[in-house]
Amino acid sequence: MTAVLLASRRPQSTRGSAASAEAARQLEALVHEAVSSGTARQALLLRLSTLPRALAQPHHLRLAVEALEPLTGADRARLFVLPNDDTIVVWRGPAAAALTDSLERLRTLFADARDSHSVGAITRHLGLPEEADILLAVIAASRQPPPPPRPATPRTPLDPPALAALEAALASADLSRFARRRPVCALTPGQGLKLAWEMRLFSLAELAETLAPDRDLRAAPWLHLRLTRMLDHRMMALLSAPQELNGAGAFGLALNIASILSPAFLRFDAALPARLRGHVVLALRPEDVLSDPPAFLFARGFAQTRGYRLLLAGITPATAGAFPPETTGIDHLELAWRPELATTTLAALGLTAPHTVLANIDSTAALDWARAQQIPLVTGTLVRPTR
Amino acid sequence: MSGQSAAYTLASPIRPRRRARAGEALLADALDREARAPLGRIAVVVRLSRLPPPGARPYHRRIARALLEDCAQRHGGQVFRLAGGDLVLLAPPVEVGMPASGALALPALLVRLLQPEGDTSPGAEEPIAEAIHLVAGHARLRALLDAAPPDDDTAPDDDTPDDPPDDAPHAPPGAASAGEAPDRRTRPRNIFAGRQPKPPSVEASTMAVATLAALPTGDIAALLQLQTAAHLPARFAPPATPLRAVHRALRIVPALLAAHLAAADRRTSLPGAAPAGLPAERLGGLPADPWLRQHLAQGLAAALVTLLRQSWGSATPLDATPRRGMPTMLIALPPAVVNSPGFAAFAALFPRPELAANSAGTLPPAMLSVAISMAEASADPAGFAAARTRLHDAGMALVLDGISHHALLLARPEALGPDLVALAWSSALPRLTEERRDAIAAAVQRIGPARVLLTEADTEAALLWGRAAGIQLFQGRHAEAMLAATRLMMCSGARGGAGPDGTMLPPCQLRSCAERATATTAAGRTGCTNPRLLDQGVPNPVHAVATTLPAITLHATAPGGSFA
Repeated sequence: MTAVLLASRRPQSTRGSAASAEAARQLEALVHEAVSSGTARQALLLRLSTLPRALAQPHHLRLAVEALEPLTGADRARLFVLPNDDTIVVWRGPAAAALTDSLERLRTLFADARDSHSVGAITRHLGLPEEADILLAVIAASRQPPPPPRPATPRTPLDPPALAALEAALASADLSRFARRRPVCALTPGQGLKLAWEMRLFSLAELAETLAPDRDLRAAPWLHLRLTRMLDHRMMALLSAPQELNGAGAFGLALNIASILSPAFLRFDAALPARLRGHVVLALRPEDVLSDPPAFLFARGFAQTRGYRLLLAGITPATAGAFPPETTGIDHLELAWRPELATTTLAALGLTAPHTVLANIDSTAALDWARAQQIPLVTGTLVRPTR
Repeated sequence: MSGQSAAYTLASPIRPRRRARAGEALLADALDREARAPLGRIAVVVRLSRLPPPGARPYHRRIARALLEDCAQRHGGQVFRLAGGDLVLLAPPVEVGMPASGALALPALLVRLLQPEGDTSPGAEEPIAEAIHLVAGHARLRALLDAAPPDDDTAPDDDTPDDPPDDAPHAPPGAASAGEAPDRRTRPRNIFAGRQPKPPSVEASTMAVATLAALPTGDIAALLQLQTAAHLPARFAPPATPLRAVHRALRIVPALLAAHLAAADRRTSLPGAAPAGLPAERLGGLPADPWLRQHLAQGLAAALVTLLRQSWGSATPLDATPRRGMPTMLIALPPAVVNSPGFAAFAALFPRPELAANSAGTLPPAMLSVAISMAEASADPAGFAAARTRLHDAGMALVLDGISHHALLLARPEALGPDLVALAWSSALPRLTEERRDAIAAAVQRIGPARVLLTEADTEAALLWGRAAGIQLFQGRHAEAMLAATRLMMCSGARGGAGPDGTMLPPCQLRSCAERATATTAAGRTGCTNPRLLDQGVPNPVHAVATTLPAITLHATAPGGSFA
């Protein structure tokens, strides 16, 4: 196996190397694969990045990786060394003897250490896909650059004059580098995760960090919403550009209702390739619907006439029963995952599976709940389409 | 491959801006030609001027026009606008016997879009959109030309960019029928429903928000009004079952806010007098953008809580101290304010909640009522849930407001667990289609008629509709008039006579008593010798009120007056 060979030849830390970045990417894909297909795997995580400097010398790291050798002989075993030296072996099927052997070697290796670091503190035996979120968090942490120094003064809430300045800055800024895609996947039993559509959005957090680093956008939620109107227009303009949607698949846009009723939307609609008609989802917010119901009714009729599907985003357990699809006429309700949902059911929330999209999926518990509730569509950091 | 199909090109690259009279000339010319040599052409007429109040908004015009132009591109034809804003598509002949498509399919689509809840306009004889054959319908099209106003500059052009700022509702002057409040689009919080002829610029709007947000707490008292809600039991038969005052709703009056902005404008227009940070241009009134208005409302709500805390125990109209026999205070607050330390400090002033059931059994024994708009609750579900718990623990009632009949048809406010649901009256309610009427009735039953508060109940029609729906709680000018009429009969000072300072006071009028009850300052109550009764709304309990529903109609209030 490439990854094992890489590890055995590795005389010293590969911290930050291209090979370790590739190892992180491969491991991430493997974890997502396990999540979407439900295939059971086991993993041994070795948190070498947490060792004190005295114990993290290159020869220590090499010996630690070599201690994992028994496990690398297990069925379909693969070894990954992440950019921060954290090391993971993933295998399938039973390998109890090899696991015990590897752990024993590690214990021997660290037996002489005067430090209180025990093998138990730096190793963890994980089951996939149940504990995928832990591994994904380890991968994400391994990539993180050192945290930037915190601003000396706390950020002040966005206020109207700052909003006006930010809007002026946004009007001329090149926003294409802030454009992001978030997959929404169909969760079909036995078939893993299939891409249903990709949400096209701007990373507002990065945008604010760049254009107004001293302002806290979340502290003024209504001004934040106002800002999204301008971003709607920029996104629609971006997607209306020639060639932009060539080869694109089904996609989704989060829009204000006023934006759907604007000239910019008519231009976007005119530029939409015919093959994508009927494959675009428009995500609305409930507060927008309630702010001006007649405008919503008009926009709903117009959008559906033009073949768009509508989604109501930002639904939580507290508001779940307030927007029944049969009266709102909305195609999808996006319910945000919360751990407390694990103890309830969709029906108890007043929702029905065919209309629901479960969002914010960041743990396998969320995905398991979606499966148990037969929710057809899912999205979140843990959701990647099966290759 | 461009990937683009002509069949789906909606935005026309050519947008001829024809003046209104040119549209009439084109249609007249087509009619003349058709009379000389019939081609069998048809006209799709979209009567946007017939949309019920507040009338056609810019997006109605824009999208109706885009749909007509799309059809003209695909099937041929020409689109133009008549004076008054109506649109006409002049389309080539359609083969007889073919399934409805192209121009013939448009009217049904437009009717569905423009009137999603059915035709609710009074005296609807002609549909909002229809296809008329130029030959067969010659007389009707001529009549359409004759009926068009001579010129019309008030109808906004459909190319008007309105985003941002958003579509401000445009209503033709005098659109509201006599005796009825205009059918306002209920915005969340619904306190800034004023219309502007031209939306101010973004910068001016944001500055207006900043200016109002910087108001000193004390100055806010001058922008407020109290509105007492009345409870009419299901079997209202005075004197056995009395009228009762439910709560005194403290409202921010948009007209007074706008006046404050105008005053700020005057100050900044003086040479060298512009305060730092204010723009040189006029502030231009309240912002049209709903999100800016929400931001403003949130800032003012926080200041309102501070004001009420300062007024605690002051025995002024703004004293929220709960007292036996007195209606509770109702204030509209966003969840973030309910969850703030400022509100916690205010709530700490209240006595511990009494758990005894109140005698009427319609309201919890609330220390205070807090109205949260359903839009705000939806925007911040976690904050709303925390606020609901906090209010409940403090023995305070949660009223979910900002709910129009449109919203009630779309959503289920009762799912958010409020004590009361405030439904805004609209003159469209009695005119809804049967299906919609049934849906509203079902919603009221689902919530529980005793838990529905009909707000903006300014007219007798509102009261009668509410009574028929089983609603017992009313807030608005008509409810205030009923309370005032009851007070006049019960009040020892209503007949006039010597006041406390020896001056002779005239007998009280219904209007003056109702207006004094709305005042939040002592000055606003001048002339009343029984202010305690104003605080009470009506003596509680009342045993002998010889009023009947149809006998009380408030004619004396004019739009734009202090009752607005």
